[in-house]
This record gives sequence, structure tokens and C-alpha cells, in this order.
Amino acid sequence: MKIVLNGKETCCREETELLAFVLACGFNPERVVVQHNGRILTREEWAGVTVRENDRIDVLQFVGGG
Amino acid sequence: MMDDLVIGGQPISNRLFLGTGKFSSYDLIPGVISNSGAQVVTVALRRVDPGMASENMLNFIPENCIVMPNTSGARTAAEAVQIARLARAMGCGNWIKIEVISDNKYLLPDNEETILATRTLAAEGFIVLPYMNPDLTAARKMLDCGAAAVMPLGSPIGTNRGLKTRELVQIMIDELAAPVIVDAGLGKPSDAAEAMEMGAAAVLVNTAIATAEDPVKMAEAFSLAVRAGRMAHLAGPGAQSALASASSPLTGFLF
Repeated sequence: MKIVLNGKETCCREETELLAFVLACGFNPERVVVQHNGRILTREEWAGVTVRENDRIDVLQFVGGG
Repeated sequence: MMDDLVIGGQPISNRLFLGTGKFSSYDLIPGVISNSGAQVVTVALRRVDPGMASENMLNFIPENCIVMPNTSGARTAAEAVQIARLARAMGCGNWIKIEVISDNKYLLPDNEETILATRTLAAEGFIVLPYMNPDLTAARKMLDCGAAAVMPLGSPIGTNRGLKTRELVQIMIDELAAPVIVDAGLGKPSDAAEAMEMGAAAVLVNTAIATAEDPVKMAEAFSLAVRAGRMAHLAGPGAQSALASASSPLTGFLF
């Protein structure tokens, strides 16, 4: 299935729980924030979210900035 | 001497705010923070692609620092609001530096959009510090909307050109009860001292420290300059005059 990850179309094998998806992508869940179809998720909300076909996912983290 | 700056209910004794961009390595940042004593530290929020995860910025910032994410990358109020909400979801507090920029040449902020973002975010409980063009009327509007301080630019971001906006910043300092923090463009410790002598509540410095040959040493130099400038402001500089006024007695001359 296809999803849009960080603005880019990406292939994904099957529907997955968000946490499993984040881990599979190699992100550290402790240091990223996730936006799912435009909705900002708190960490507590991750558990109830499944990544499905055509979902838009943004994964962000803090970097150096002024 | 207790001379804390209080923002959002938090006392801040060190009036040098530090930006963390442009350092050649995050490894420099702990030394820069400890040598400067900075308590307020800015960060940015960016997308991270799979396999590209960099080191965790927060590992380089001591836990007792206030982390102030910025909304860099926002071109409108709505985008700034979205970035601020994402930053808060990271769980590092509710301070936010609003930065709304649509001018890519000089990176000058859009005061009108910044006012709108300030209103929304202050109502949501953020401690809002807007980066702005130095304009008294716009600053008043931001404060009316709930900004905790205002942050006019000294000169365009990253230019190291110093306090080119001096007259307008001085008007803001003189007329506003809220803290005025000079952000952007300060290139040398003497620029920071100048801003503090004028009565700025604090300065935010990034490029001048990050791009110095020895950023850790430069951080300490800025910290000393900020303290000196603040102390001079509190001491009350003597009046200037056009004509000379002898420092030695005008009586008892030998000749």
C-alpha cells in the first residue's frame, strides 16, 4: 500500500500500528513527534492509531536552530 | 544582587539566550551552554526521514535549561501555530519563539502574521516570544494578544552586523513595560553590551557564537558582555555633552 511520509509517496507492506511503523522506519519514538493526516498526536494517542492506505504521516524532531 | 528577568513566571538570571543552529557539531553545544551560563536555548523542529535520524538535540541541552522551540519554516500564522503545537507535543514545555518569514532574501519577519499567531498561541497557554521587525505599534498589538516579551531584530538573521535598528529598538524599550529582547544580527559581544546598556531585557545570539573560530570562548565573551551591559544600564550612564568638561579640578594650577 502507499502512504505519504514526510510529503513523499512511500510504499508500505501492510496496515500497521503507528508505534510499529515508527520503529520499523528506524525512528526513536522518544524523540519524535508525529502528525497523522494533519492531526498532531500526543504519545498517549499513538496506541489507537493504525497506518492505512493513503495516510499522510509526518515525523519531526528537534534540531539545532536559532 | 537579584536582577532576574521573569518571563512566563520563570525567573531567568542569565540574560543571554542562545540559539543552537549552525554549530559545526552538536558536541560543541554543552560547552557553549556551560561557558555562557545560558538558561534559555532555542531549537527548531524539522521532518526527519527514515534512516536519516540525527543525534537527539535535546541530549546536548542540560535539563535545567528552558527549551524554546522556534517556528522557523512558517510563512503564515497558521503554519506557525501548527509548528508550535507540534513542538509542544514533544513534551519540552510551552515556550515558543514565533518566527513567520516569507522574505527569503533578508529573512525579515511578517509582523501582521506574527500578531495573529501570537493571539492564537497565547490563548492556548503558550509562553509566546515573537521575533519581529522593530515596530512599536506591532509590538503593542503582540503584547495585547498575550506575548510574554517581544524580540525585535538588531539586523537581518545571521548577518553579524550588529544593532542597525538601534533607534527603533530604543523606542520600544522606552515605551513598553514588557521585556524587549534583541534577537538576530548581533555579531560581537560589544553589540550585545550595547543592546543591554540601552535597556534590553536580554539578547538572543546564535550565528555570532556558532560561527566563531572558538564558539565556546565566544559564548563566554558574549555572556560577560551581556552582564557588563546590564550592569551599566542599572548603574545609569552619565549624560553626554557636546563640549568638553574637565575631569581634573580647575583650580590650583601650577601655571
